[in-house]
Amino acid sequence: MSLPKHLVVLGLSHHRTPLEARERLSLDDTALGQLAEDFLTHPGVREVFVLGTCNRLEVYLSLRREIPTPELLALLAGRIGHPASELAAYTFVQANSSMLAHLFSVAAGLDSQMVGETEILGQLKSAYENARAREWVGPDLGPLVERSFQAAKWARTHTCIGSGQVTIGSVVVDLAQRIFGNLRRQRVLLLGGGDVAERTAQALHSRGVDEITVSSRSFARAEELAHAYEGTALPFEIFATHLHHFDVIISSTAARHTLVGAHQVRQLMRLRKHNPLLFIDVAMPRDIDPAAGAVRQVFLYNLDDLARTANENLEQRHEAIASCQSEMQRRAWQAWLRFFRRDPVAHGADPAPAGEGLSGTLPPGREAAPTPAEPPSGRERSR
Amino acid sequence: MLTPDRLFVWAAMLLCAAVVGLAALQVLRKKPLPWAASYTLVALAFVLQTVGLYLRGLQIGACPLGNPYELIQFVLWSTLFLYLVIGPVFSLNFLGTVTSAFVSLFGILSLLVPAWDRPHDRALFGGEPLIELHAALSVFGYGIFGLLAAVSLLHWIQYNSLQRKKSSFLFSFLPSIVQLDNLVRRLLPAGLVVLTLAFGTGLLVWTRGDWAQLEGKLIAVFLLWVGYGALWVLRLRRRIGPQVASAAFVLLFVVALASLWPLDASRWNPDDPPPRAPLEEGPP
Repeated sequence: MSLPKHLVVLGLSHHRTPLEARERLSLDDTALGQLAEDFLTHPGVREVFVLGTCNRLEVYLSLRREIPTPELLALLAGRIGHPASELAAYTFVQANSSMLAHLFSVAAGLDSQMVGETEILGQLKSAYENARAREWVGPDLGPLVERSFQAAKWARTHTCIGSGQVTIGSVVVDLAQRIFGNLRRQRVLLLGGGDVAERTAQALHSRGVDEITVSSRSFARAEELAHAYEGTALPFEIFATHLHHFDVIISSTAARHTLVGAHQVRQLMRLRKHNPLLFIDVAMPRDIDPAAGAVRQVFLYNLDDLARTANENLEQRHEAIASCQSEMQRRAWQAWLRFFRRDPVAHGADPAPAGEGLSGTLPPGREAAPTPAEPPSGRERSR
Repeated sequence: MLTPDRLFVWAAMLLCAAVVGLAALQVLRKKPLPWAASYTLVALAFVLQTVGLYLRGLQIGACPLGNPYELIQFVLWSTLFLYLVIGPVFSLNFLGTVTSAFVSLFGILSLLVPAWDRPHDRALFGGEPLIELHAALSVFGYGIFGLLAAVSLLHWIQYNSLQRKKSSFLFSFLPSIVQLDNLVRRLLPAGLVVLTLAFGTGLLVWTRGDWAQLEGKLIAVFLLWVGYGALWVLRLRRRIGPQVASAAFVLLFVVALASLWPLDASRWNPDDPPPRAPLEEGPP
């Protein structure tokens, strides 16, 4: 007999969900909030915490009683607007200590597409603050999420998972240098004013890029960003007619449809007269038509491409990652014990059931493969 | 037979091969070979090869262009010379390595095939300096196009690695495609100018009827001139992209190199008595 599932995470991530599917299944900020509300309407749900980034959509739940997975899946499918049968192929469910181990891994960046990245911790904190402000989380999930922050801090300071870590900015700089060499004279356009775009612009600026133009739906935000890099702001309505002036275009808008089509790219390349163009598309859904990558002298990199590049040095950090993962599991198990001991009867009575023994040994392996790789996010909204 | 001139050329070629070996070792350590190191070694190889070719020149009393071995060595010498001239201007990573690889590959091959270094008559150009100038300019032009092919090869590798999203650290060491394209744009007209001069001098000799056998060579130089000229115009008018041009430059150079054999063979009449071996004679 195993313990009832009181702590559950239902989610989909880059591990099992390809980029095209993640695009279709992604939710904006408003929809993420509505998703949390949907779950809270279920009588069996006590607390909920939703983490939505461009590489994952995860719903962490504290349950009053065990809820069958199909029921949870139906709630998720209802909000996303896709049949549960389609979602089932992409989603994973983890319960109790496995859920905590997963949460800790996510916080530490071990489950990220770009292993060891720190941006996910900021996104997690932001999502948690939002959930706490709206009282979606309380005494169950609150302390556990906070413990995941401590675990992430431990991983950062006590292991070398972050060493040799390449950021999205450094990957883009490397790509731009492979194409243009000296970056001083290159012109960069930021489409959207998201965090990733900003960090990438910072990396390019530090490598000597002087001409940074920002175009965002919010002109005030565009001006603010442009001011930070001594650049200029371009009204979003007219950016398409100016694309050929730029050598590097970093797109990270929250648009729900393609902003730049392949035909448009073919036309602008005629104006560029065989001068190369680097497109960095970190938006979810993507802003640039993938077919544009086939146009000659156009180099189009999306989130998955960048993560693949960044994880090239993963082998070197393999040992550090393994040791970090083991520590995260140990910490998750301790957190689970504390959670369980707080009210053992409420959480399933029998304190030493099969499969979730409380002897202090580590729990069995997780259901869904966690681990590597997650690139940065890159939407205009905060993640 | 290891004669003094060939000994120097061997040393030069092995030094170029050492540059490639060192670069490969550095790559295994995920570091590029320092530009200054490769440049110094290539410069030393160039000096050794120059001494070797000079000794051969003394033996035959003319510019050493009498057999495939000499032709190849002269082309490679031109390539090294050009690299040493433009290297400091562009200081491109891996250009020294690729040049060394190209030089050592063809150089060692030419040393290993004895038939390519067959003895030839010392009166190679019939004492006509214009013919010698035409030959030297033509082969120097080949040298420029050799370097152009090496640069184009680097461009092709970097372009395709970026298009296919290959992320090996090796590609980070390669020069950027824009830098390589800039170099191509300078080498191509330079090669065309030299080839035009070669064609002009050849035409002058031919119209004077000084050298009947020049016809075939002149046609070959003309065809090459047309080929590279067409590519230059197309690039200038932006009708073809750098990636297409780079593939064409490599291909055209292979054709140019291959044309050296029939052209050289055309000079030899099977009914002629065998010429004296160059080493059996003293300096002129």
